[in-house]
Amino acid sequence: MFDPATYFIVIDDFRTMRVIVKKTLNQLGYSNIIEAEDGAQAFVIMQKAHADGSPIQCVVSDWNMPNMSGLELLKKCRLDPNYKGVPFMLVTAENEQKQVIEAAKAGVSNYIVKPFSVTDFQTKLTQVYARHFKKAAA
Amino acid sequence: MGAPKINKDFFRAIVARAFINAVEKTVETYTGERPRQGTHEITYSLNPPYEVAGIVDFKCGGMDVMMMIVFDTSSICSLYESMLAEKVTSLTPEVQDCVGELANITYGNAKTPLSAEGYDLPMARPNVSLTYQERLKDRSCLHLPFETKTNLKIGLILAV
Repeated sequence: MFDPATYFIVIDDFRTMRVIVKKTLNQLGYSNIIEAEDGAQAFVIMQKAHADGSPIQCVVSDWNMPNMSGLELLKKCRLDPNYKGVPFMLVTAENEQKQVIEAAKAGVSNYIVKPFSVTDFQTKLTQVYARHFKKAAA
Repeated sequence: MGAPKINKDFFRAIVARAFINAVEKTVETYTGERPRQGTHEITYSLNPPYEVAGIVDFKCGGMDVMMMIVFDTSSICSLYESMLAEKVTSLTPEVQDCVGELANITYGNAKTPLSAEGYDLPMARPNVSLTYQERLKDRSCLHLPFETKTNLKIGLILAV
């Protein structure tokens, strides 16, 4: 599982879901959590964090947001050498196959459907970790 | 090819079921309790006894549909506390944000089974209203009340 010192960014235009995700991460032992209201704001924060030497190490983003959606942010990250390998989990209220395929093509690490429990979230996050780091360690 | 055309009976059977399931799942996840569905009502110009609504407008099967998830202050404050572990007693901006997110989750969860039925609902963004009754005037409304054992009351309204 991710180290407790991992830097997360939680992105959602609804404060409610940001707080739920943040509290879920807190319950799982993580406290380095930055919030953003949309993909555009998140990318600026990620750039600054990278420049400051404390880069974001895992992104948890809503899909459907104004300004820049979660999918657009994911595509932007995957094209940028600084963020192309950053674990990226999409949070969505929908579970349509075409969406799942679109996200997979864009390089998403995993996705979780709202509403979710702490256990659901932990399972997804463990899968994200395994996908990014267990292969590298093998 | 557009979505299949639907009549009102079909709307009630298929579309309403998708939204009912979405409300039940959402409330159960956040309260640990599956709500009971009360007796539905179908009427024009509904004037239900709730104080705040999360609203999503969308097209389905050639119909303009408005979905509302509605609450009285006490119930949404109680649900907010279950979701966020923060005590509230009034319809603060944070509580209204929560109503919007609940509408978002309900719509998104209903969208998935409807897509499997051939109704390709668009992505939509909810809005929150304290004067939502105005939007129900002269519309055919299906009102489905839900209640939990802990007296949390929720309304689902589908208006066409």
